[in-house]
Amino acid sequence: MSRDPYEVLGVKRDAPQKDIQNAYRKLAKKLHPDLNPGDKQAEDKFKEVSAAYGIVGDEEKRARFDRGEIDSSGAEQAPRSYYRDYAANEGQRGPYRNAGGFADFGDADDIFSNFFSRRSRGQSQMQGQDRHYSMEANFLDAINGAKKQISLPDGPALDVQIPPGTRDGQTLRLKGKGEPGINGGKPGDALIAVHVRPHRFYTRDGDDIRLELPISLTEAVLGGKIRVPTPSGPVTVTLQPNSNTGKVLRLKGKGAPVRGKENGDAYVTLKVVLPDAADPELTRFASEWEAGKTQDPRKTMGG
Amino acid sequence: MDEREFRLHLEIETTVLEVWISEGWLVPEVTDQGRNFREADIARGQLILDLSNAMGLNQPGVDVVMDLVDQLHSLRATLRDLTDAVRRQPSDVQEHILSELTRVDVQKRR
Repeated sequence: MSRDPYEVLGVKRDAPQKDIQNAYRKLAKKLHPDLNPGDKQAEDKFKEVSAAYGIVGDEEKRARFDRGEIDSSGAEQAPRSYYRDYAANEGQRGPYRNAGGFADFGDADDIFSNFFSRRSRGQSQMQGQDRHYSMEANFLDAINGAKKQISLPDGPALDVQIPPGTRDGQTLRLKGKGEPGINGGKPGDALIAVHVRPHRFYTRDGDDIRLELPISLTEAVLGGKIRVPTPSGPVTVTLQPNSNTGKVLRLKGKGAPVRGKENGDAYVTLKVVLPDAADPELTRFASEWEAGKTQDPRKTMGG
Repeated sequence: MDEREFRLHLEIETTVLEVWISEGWLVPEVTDQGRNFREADIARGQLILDLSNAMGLNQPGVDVVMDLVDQLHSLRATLRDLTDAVRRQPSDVQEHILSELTRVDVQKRR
């Protein structure tokens, strides 16, 4: 026969429910085996208090107990384990080790300091090392973003998401893909340096893209609509009549994407190109064209 | 055991478990099949439930207690190893240490 639950909790038989809860909480904080890891009797006392609260902590059960319908043994609790039963090992190694209680002993200048400081550092959790890789990306993948897989000699293949606007030499961080953690610590990261291969006709200038655009003599003289390639697809541009070599057109927002900002721009430098083979009609026109003969494009160069 | 078994055993919701893990109160092993919980993790989970339900501690309160509990056990493990090492010494060495401890004890009481 167990003790009277009111007596165990130290409350009067007519105590309000709130007082019973308070009494229980106070005792539980004092008696919980995990808060008294060295006290072997704590477990029995805590069990008794918990069993008592199991009856009178519940208003309905308390009423039945008061009427004599159940006795105090009616709240036997299922056996359970406490963390302290495992903590002897956990205190030495594993993720729950915490040397905060003695790490400063290692500061002392004596033969034991080494022992304490080694213990406080040695087995504690550590994040794994980062792994460094490099990969090549083609120019357009780096501008527009792409998903690539890189295979590694010392690990599984990694899926790499190249974000839009990636610059040459930029490092991508793949969280948790580095060396595994030590003693349950987090794994390190994979750091991937991206080398962007040059493009046939685009070059990158910060967030802007530059390209030289060949136009025919006719287009240069008469102007009109022309198609201009950009990394995000061709656009149609209206060329003014008499557009010379070296003229630069700015295509707003057609450069590299920039996170959290507006895209860079594309700068198109015109280059007038004569027909591949000499054209008799053009030759005849030029030989009869008076203004062409008197034009001196080198007059500012002296000599 | 896996995450589902663990939650059923302790009768807790996923959101509760995620709080425990993000607070660092529980550090399950992470395998290719997902999280793996040990017996010690169950006992820890019961302690966390006792603190937050039975004793009415709030989240910061549980956090402080779990940190101190872990410090306490690491300190106990170190103290136990130290006393074990002393116990393996020749009896005169043990007596020297004991008498020194007694001397310090008496000195500090004064």
